Amino acid sequence: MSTTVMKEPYLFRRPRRFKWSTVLKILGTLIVILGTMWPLYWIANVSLLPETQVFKAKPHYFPPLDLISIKAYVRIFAEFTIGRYLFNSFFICTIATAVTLAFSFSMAYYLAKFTFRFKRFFFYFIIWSLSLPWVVYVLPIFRIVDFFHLFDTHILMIMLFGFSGIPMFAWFALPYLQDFPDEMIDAARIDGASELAILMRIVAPALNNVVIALFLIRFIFAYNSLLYPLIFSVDKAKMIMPVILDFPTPYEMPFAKMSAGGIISVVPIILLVIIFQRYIVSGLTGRTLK
Amino acid sequence: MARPRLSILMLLIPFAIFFLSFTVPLIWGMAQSLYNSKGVFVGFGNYLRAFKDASFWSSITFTFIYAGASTGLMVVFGYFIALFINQLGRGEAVAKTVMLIPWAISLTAWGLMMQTVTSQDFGILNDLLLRMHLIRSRISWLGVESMARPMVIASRVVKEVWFATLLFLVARQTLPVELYEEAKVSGANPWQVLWRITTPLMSTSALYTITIVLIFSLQEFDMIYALTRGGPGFSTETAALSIYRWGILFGKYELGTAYTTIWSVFVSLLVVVILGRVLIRNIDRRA
Repeated sequence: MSTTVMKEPYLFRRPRRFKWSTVLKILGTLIVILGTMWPLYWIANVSLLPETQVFKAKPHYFPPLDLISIKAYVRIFAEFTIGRYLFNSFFICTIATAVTLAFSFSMAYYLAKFTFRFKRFFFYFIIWSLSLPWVVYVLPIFRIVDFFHLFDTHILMIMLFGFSGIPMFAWFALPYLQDFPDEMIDAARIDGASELAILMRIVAPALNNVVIALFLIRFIFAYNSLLYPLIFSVDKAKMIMPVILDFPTPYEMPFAKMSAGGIISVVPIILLVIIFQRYIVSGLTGRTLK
Repeated sequence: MARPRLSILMLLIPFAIFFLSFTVPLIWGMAQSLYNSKGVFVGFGNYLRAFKDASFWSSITFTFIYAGASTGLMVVFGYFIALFINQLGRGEAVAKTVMLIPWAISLTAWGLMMQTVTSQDFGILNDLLLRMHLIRSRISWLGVESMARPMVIASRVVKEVWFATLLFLVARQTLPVELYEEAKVSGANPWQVLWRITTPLMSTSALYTITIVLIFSLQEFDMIYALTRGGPGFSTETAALSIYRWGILFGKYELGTAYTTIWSVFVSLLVVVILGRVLIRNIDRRA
């Protein structure tokens, strides 16, 4: 009986030829990872050191295992009602973002799908107002807010963040609506649907991914911004960004505490970005390509 | 295209809301800059006081230096990093994942982090440079004007260069592969490919990237407030910080509104003269 010689391609596969280009590619990828991840690593590193270990002429490049302490976090949670500030941030930003997107999609839909006189005026207005820095509105609004006793209220922060993004996000949404097929809209019109119903029932669901992407981007912009929360809230409606600025005082520079505050404020956004990375990339870059 | 009827409210309501809550107050603020704190009409008195203030000119010029320098650096570095990442094969997907991390960190937290990094006695930057024997003694990065200004710009660039990179990388990936194969066949060297094919095709997205990055840099408040509060002196103060200091901190509201007016006129001119052309081409495809 002769034994059949079995070919075993998987076990005896020729080892891959070593290529220098592969090594260079891996090296390059590592450089990019290092270049993007060091800030996060560094904040985490400093936040895990005891305050006395931060002030060393030779800084710890990683926290020694026997020195790791979460004291900075404990101190922050003991001294500040962080949970409430985080809740304020999430509450205000979520509602404000929904408001912004509703208005800006409605505006962009009309600009994309209708022809009328003075259309150019609206385009110029959008471009002008999205380029003006937010700070130019601060002082007059400050007076008005004072007059209406709206200072430090949730409704004010929602209005500020909800309305300020309208031009910019109309501008973001516009190319997607311009590319939206007219046939689908016309079909709905023949069925007698109103324009608002068409936007809500047909266009928005079809552009589901765009809506999610722009929602996340607006949310992150609002959550991360400092100027309006710093000026228009002191306690009740205070959001998380001005809070972490309260840690360094004229008498004390608590690096570990500052870093721990940074981690607490940044982690929710990092999680959002990691989970919804695909949407955010497409939303941020959509304008470049269209 | 349907004829506009009642549905024009879909445009007018959002427009009116923004106009009434932001643009009208801005115009009202401009009118107020002509009065003093007691409500007496002073004409351009507030402007004359602003023009005489040295910190006013310093902050205006610094804002333009800051925006120009950080935009230029971000675009140049972002462009070449994007082309580099595009060559990484499978590493490119990994790079795309981590690239949004610096973007996600708020400018406020970034400013605080840069304080720990650039600290003169305890910072990692001085320590690394000492270990590499690039400097002999510890540098006070944020303590003196000649160091603080470049340092503030560098802090911003190190963060946002990844945003520019992402925009360039995605634009690069939409360029047709056939062109590059053609170039290979006709024996073009990488240098020619870069300057004859990639750069001309990317110029539109580069123009867009420059515009959007410039608009965000002119806004600058958050990071500098967290990092230096405009110091040392007023050397790293941007227009936004100046308006905040005069109008809110010092309570000189009228001076602040004069400053606001000047600043919004400057930015509007910039928009009309330069940025508007890029943006209107970008917006106005079917008008």
